[in-house]
Amino acid sequence: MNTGKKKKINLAPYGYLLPCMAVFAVFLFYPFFKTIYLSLYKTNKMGEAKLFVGLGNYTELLSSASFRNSLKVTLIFVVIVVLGSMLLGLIAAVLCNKAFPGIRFFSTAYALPMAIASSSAAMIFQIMLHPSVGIVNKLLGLDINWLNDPKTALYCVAILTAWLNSGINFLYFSAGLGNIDETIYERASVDGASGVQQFFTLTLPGLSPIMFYTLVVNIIQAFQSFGQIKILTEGGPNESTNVIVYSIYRDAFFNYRFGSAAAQSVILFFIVMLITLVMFRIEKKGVKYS
Amino acid sequence: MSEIALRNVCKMYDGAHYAVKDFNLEIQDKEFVIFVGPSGCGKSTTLRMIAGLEEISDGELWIDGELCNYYEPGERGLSMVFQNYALYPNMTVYGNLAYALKIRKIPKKEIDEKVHKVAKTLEIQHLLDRRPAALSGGQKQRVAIGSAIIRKPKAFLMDEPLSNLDAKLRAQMRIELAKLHKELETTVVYVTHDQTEAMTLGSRIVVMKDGVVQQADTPQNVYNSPANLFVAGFIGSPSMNFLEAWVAVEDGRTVLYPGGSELGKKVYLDGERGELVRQRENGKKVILGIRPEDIYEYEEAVERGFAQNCQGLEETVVTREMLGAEVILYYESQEKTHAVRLSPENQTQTGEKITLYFDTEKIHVFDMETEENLFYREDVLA
Repeated sequence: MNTGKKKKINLAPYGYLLPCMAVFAVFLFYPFFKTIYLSLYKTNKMGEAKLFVGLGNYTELLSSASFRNSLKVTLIFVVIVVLGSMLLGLIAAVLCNKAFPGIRFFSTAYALPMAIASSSAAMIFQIMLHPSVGIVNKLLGLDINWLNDPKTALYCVAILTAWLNSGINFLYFSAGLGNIDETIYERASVDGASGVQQFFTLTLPGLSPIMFYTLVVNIIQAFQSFGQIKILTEGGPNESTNVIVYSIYRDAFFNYRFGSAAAQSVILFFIVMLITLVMFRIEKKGVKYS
Repeated sequence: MSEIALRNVCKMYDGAHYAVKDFNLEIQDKEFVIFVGPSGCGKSTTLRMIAGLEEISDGELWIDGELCNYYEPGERGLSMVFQNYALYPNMTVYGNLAYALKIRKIPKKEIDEKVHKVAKTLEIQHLLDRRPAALSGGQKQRVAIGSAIIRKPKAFLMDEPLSNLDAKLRAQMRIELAKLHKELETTVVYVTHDQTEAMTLGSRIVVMKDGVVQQADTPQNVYNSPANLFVAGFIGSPSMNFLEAWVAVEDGRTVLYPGGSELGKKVYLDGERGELVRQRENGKKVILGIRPEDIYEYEEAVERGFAQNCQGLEETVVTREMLGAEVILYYESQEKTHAVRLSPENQTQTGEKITLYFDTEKIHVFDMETEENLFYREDVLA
């Protein structure tokens, strides 16, 4: 209905959004679009776009054995890290879900990895995995060069990352377990269900909403792991730990191929986005009970 | 056959505090036993000890002649209905009903038959595909009961199963539970703090206080012959009126002076009851207990033939509650509020005076120190 008055645009709400949008624009939107832009160019050593190649960087990457290896390594790394960190966090949370003397000590110990910087943890692991003085070889009575053997290096880095990520998972799962009504376990035990049956029929389904969230966060986090790889293996030996993020770093800051690095970043972005979208689609099918 | 026996059962916390002390009870097959008492009296703890959810600190629990103290909850062959229903939120109603059977690896076809049979009995067939979050309180209650009855346990344990329902639904479910007990012919141990549930459902009531059994008897006996002051005050609504009274002998008759002889109020106790009070308490102070429905006005007291046993006590009505089928008048005496239940025709209004007569045959006398009912007999039958 026309009231005859000119509708006044209220600018105040946009004003409130401005600081936040400015931060996003500088640190998120600009780098994001700049990366897409760069991925379509060959650059000079200063990272300036010099020659438009269209999808050239992408086709080059997809035909490169090194990049395909990176994809494979990243996939293995992410699977180990996500499974390992979630399993560790879940087991620790289930163990700490009962009241017993010293529970605070154990809870702190299990949550501690999230407070440790990945570089510090990597340094500690480097000493522990040292072939001659490392405690791992001493305890196992082995003589393995864990970080320099292409067969073991990826697993070592992945296990370290899983442990580092398990701290926050422990917190998520503890919160999730706290939300499960205690009496359903009492009913289940009167119904005759064993502890294992209760875990699989009640605890796991009860945790599934938080499990989904944790899984998404963990996958994204695993894809972004960098510090520990930089310190422990630098992508080696023989590119066996050259995950995409490290490959991007190496292409950009060692080889000064910013265009190729940008193209890899865009591919990584689409992989993560795709996985997240698929998971959200699955989530809609049913992990909520209320 | 399912008999449960608790012998000297104790539950102790922190090695010092007793939640349940020396609990002794033999529950017969097909009995509907109610544990009733105020919050923290140990009734739920006792039930949980029977279920195996709480460890028994001391004493013995026998189920069908087997010592079950160290049996896991699932090995005891009991099923339980919880106050908050404890339905599995991730399963449908069908899944909830079938859970205990699936655990026991019963063939799918048999499970399906049983689920549908139970769902039909409880009229929840149309809810089988729903999750608990989509059910109303009453429907959840039915599912919880269905889950308990589906595997034909030795006994049902019910922990305040109706307390989360509104008054109307509670009354309806109470009737259905009674019906179900008759149909299933299984032992039921039921915890409640609601005395109406206790009186209407139970074949036997166990009144508890501070972890100790005060009285275990039929509802009628608990009501008509309470063992002590606590039971007398706990069972009945409005609760029994208590007055301090002096015991004396006048012209060979035992007489009680509520509030002291100087007030001139007196109640005569004759026969065996008078003799008993005279022997034990002559010259001492006792507590006189009388239920609201055992107090009358003069005309009815004459009609019922006890007007001569009691001098009318003139009191001032402080509150009048008209409940339709009856009227409850409240008056104050000895700094306490007392209630009288009269017929709805009574027109006495707030602030008016009323003269009341106690039915002396219904009076209870409690020892001032031990708080025992002097007239209590364990062998009294309803």
